Amino acid sequence: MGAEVLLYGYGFVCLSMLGFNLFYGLYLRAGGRRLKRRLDRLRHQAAAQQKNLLEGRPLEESYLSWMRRRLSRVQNLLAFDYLLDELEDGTSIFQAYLHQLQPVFLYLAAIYGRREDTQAAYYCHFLARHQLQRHMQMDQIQQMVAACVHRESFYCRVNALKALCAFGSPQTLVEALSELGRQPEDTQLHEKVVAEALLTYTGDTEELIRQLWQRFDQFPLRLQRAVLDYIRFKSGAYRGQMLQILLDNSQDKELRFSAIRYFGRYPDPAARPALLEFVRDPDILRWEFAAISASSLARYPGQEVVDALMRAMHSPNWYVRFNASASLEAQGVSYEEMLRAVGSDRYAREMLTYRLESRRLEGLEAAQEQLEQQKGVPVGV
Amino acid sequence: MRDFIQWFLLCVECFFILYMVGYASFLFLSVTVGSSDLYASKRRNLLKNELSNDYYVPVSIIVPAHNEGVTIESTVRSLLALDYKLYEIIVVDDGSTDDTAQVLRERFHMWRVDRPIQRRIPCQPEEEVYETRAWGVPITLVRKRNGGKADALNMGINVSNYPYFLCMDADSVLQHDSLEKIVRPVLEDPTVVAVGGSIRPCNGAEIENGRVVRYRMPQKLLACMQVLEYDRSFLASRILFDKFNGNIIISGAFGLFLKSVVIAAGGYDHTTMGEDMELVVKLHVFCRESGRRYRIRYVTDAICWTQVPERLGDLCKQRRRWHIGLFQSMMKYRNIMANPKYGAVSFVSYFYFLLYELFSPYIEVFGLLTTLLAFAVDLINLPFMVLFFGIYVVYTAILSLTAFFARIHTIDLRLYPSDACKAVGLCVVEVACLRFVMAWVRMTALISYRKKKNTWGRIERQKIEFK
Repeated sequence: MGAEVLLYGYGFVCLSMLGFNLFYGLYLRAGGRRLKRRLDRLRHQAAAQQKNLLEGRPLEESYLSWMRRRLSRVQNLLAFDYLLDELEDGTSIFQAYLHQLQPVFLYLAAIYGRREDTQAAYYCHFLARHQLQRHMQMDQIQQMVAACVHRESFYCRVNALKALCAFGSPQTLVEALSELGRQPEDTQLHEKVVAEALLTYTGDTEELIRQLWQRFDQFPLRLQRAVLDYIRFKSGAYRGQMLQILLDNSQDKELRFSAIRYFGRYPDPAARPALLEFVRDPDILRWEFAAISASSLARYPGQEVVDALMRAMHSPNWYVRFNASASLEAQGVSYEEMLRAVGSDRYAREMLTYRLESRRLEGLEAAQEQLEQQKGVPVGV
Repeated sequence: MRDFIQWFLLCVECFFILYMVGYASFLFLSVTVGSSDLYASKRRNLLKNELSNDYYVPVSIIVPAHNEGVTIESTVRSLLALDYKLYEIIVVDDGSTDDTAQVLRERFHMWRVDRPIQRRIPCQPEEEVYETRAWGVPITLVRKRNGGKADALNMGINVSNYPYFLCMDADSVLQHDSLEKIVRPVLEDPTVVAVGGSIRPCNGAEIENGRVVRYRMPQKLLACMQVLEYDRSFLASRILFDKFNGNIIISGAFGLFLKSVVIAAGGYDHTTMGEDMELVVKLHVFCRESGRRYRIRYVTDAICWTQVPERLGDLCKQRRRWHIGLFQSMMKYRNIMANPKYGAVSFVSYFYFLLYELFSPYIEVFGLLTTLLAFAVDLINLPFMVLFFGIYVVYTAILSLTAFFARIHTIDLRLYPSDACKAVGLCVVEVACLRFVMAWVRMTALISYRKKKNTWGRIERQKIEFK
């Protein structure tokens, strides 16, 4: 009898779930219509206010109160997000409209700062997306966003970081990164996520990098890697600091790899001896240093580099041979010369043959593409 | 004698009550958790709680193929349409006797190269390598001596250039955003070593540039029933197991792996039929034994559309293969069982697969035989039996429908009323009939499995209409 009761009980809950599912399905289906209704209402009100602005009058107080109430509901904020896309035309009227809405955004920051993670994250996304800092200075909003960095939700932290990058204040951003760095290791953001967010930074890049360097040693490894990647993409003016990392044996190898890549992108004679030393290193356990250096040396002309790369062609590691052959090719060394130099080493010859064939393949494909374009055939069909 | 039978039947009854209550509780919990997870994820996406930039986690897509001349072109075209920046496509032709390699060479204008292959995992030798870069994404075709699917995947790993690889079947199509979505857990948590995606039957779906433009339930009833079954099983166990890092299966049709860990663990085992499950269990064992912090994740919104068999014979072949694979993996890693070192993987996932997957066909058939025995000695309460069976069918059917509708709603597919009716009608047939046929097939699967263990299961393929 007990089992029956349990099964009936489960059955009842399952039926409720099915009912919920069907109801929710219908609700979702009607979601588009609801959004349109909200958008129409907001659009209608905004049009009237923009007319006021055109006539030189400010936004009405009743409108601001109405907007505070409306946008406190996340669904309305979502509709307003779409409306701003429509209105954004770069004119002074639009800018004045946003500027005068400042009290509403401040109020919303307080409201959404207290909401659960998903809604707080959405507010950060909203702020970042419309780059509202262009239209106003809002310290309280920055504080609310910076507070979101402390939250447990991954997306809340990511959206907050993106919003801070959109605001363009280096100090707040570096503070937030320091806060992220203090979080337990297993909750820290992936270096690619941080680097990608930093690349969207809208303020003074040089000032940001300067402040990042000041705090660099306080950051955990993952954040340090993100910072180095960001600097590599943004500026070649940090060779001195990068060289220190490159030459410092006590640094983590991932940081030193970043430094090697940096000198691949921004060649510097001061880094050359270290890169050559890495590529000549016969220790197979340090193959990653050799492989990345072999790649970076592509932009360092000179017989000494060619000789080191030729030697690297005999490395037992596939990646070292592969990168060395590509760099030799970039140095303009002919295949005949390379084949002569590697002698009877089967692995080295195989790699060189492969490079040669790859180059020939690229040539053939380029020629074919050209031919198809001449015939008017779309490429890739 | 009658007393003994009575005593025996009482024991069986107690066992079945416990067994069914356990199963019902599991299904109930998992569908509830799965359903709410899907809706929460939908809400998160609506409110832009998602990674939307280009994050460049480079991925090598490995497509093992054996006699896939009919579908391989569509599969590769679907891969070329993915919304992702940095990936390569590697097709490994495992000794096909049809025109698989020729189709690829001709349709994608591939050129032969002498590519040195770094053999980090042992596999059968390559015969020819072809490449092209004319499509914006590098495509490599490796023709090798036949060695089975696991061996082909190992070759793909050896050829791959990127730190993550994605394995998929040659008869499947990835949704345009699937790669972007399957990579997200890696960015969310750097300890992730493997991610499984959702598999949905594509029979009946019209796919254009990796997007489903029209979704209908398949015309063939058998395929329809599999749609319901897939939804239930993916929603039933994988989302729940994901909550405690307990997934021990990532479908071979769609899974992302961190290459260095897979190589360190020894790659795919070519001696088993269920190489996909074997690899995931092996990764659990490897990471725990080596004290590595790791996560194996499952994502619901990364979708791979696959063809399901439309003929009963093909379905039986497929399920036989899956069951043998399950058996081999469970036996190979039996030291996990009741081993506190493996935590929930041992006490929840392993026991679930042991009791409700591996042993379930035997238990179900044993239950039927016992019912016949009780009927023969007139010790059966027929109305109760009918009621019990009815509750079982209705209960499982409701759960199937819950899973089905939850998945339809959360991936924004539009369902035609006739298809909804079809789903409602067929969920009962699936539970009451197909499930028992499959129980029989799985029960007999282990007979003569040694003969077939290294062969590719042949299933009749239809050309995928990819536009």
